[in-house]
Amino acid sequence: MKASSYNVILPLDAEQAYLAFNCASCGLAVLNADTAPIFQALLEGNLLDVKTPANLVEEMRRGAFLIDDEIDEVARLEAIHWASRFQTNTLSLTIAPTLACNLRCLYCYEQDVRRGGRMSAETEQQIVDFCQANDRTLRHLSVVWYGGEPLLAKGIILHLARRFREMMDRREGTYTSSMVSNGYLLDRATALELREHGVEFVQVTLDGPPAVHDSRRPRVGGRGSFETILHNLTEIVDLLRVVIRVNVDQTNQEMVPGLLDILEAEGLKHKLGIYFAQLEAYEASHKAVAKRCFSDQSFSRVETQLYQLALERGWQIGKYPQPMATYCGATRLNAFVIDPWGNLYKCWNTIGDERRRVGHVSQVVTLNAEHVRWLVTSPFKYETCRRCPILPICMGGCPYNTLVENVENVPRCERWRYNLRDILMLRYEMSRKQRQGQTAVNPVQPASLSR
Amino acid sequence: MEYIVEPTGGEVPDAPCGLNACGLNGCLINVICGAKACGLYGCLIDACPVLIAP
Repeated sequence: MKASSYNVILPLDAEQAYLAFNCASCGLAVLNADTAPIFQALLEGNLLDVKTPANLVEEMRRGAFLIDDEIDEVARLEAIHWASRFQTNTLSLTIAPTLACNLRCLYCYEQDVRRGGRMSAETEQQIVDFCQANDRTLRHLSVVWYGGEPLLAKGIILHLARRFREMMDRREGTYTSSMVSNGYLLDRATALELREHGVEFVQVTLDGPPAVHDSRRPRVGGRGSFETILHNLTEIVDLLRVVIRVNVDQTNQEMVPGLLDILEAEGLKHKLGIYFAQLEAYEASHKAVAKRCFSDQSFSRVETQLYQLALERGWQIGKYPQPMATYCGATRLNAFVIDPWGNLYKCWNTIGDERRRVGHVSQVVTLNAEHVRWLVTSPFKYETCRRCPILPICMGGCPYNTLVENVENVPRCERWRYNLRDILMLRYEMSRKQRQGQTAVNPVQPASLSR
Repeated sequence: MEYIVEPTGGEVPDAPCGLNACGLNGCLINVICGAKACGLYGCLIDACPVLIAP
């Protein structure tokens, strides 16, 4: 046996105890003062020099801290990476039935492509045909309803959802869906309809207390959106799983406590999840917000502070590293973003951008130049990534950053590079609080969609 | 040695949705997979029936 290259050992303040984390398994363990030196000795291969407690080696193997000598961890990860990218039992679609929106968020990256109009009945049918023509091995169809604001085209969503469900029922497969919505139209009646049509989860963005949120995410006419969205949230949290996304930059980071005050006052703390997202300046018009954005490193610190704050106030922290085969669906063969006119893209950020179009739902998917670019980019092409101790939880980071944002087309590290240790310590603190009964178990765990 | 977050079994798991869990950075697995979540930290890995063997 040998030590994994992906072990992270952190000292705890109390009594010479340690935290042990492995990036391949993402198991997190506490080592007490008696176990820690033996654990370390085992990692160093000193198996004969220590009296090993029962099951310790087994537990270390279970957490991938110790692995068999013949295992090449990078090669193994790479095999999983490529196998995962070209599996065809799942089709993942992000569908925007409209790019119109009732809000005018100051940082919207769709400003250049936003326009009226909704998906036609013809395009709807083409999407259904596109799915049915998919590989016979298809066992699962997952759809994210996206926009624009998808609820401006609710009828299309409900109609397509019925067709998808019928199709997957015939295949004896499964259909699941979620939605990214600004929440303004998401009243209880709508939530009921969505739930009946397979939507299980919705992400809604609130950027701070009313004045802050409304200045960043006003309605088309300039008036605020916060009060209606908040009211809607209180009406739907028993129907759908809801997570609040907070887009954070240098101008609103201090306002997060005020937002938490309001959510707590509405009794929402244990009914929905919350996570903090780094506002980023993408290409085109979105560059206008660049000066207010944090750098990755700076945001890593801010993010940790915000989760620390949330934890202290009794919120559950969903932020925790996960092993992944690929960073997201954009580099997978069987995942597409579809705009209201049936154009296919690989990444949400590129919707409506003709340069990034990879096909159309009415046509056979081909390996054109743009499509191939997404399908072959990989962290395993870069020696820096191959040697990286956090590769299993980063996988080269966001491929959009690699392929579009970075002129040199090299990966941009995930923030785990900067705050993994801090987040692990927060997880430890949360676990400790749970044991002490200071934090309720939140039924809605924060997850995220992009945006 | 006491796990406060259980390991995934040493394998990189895949989800029924075809995507993988990446925590909170844009991955969809947590929300669209439809499988039962492990309940502790928001991911579905522990419950995921689709594991890619090494």
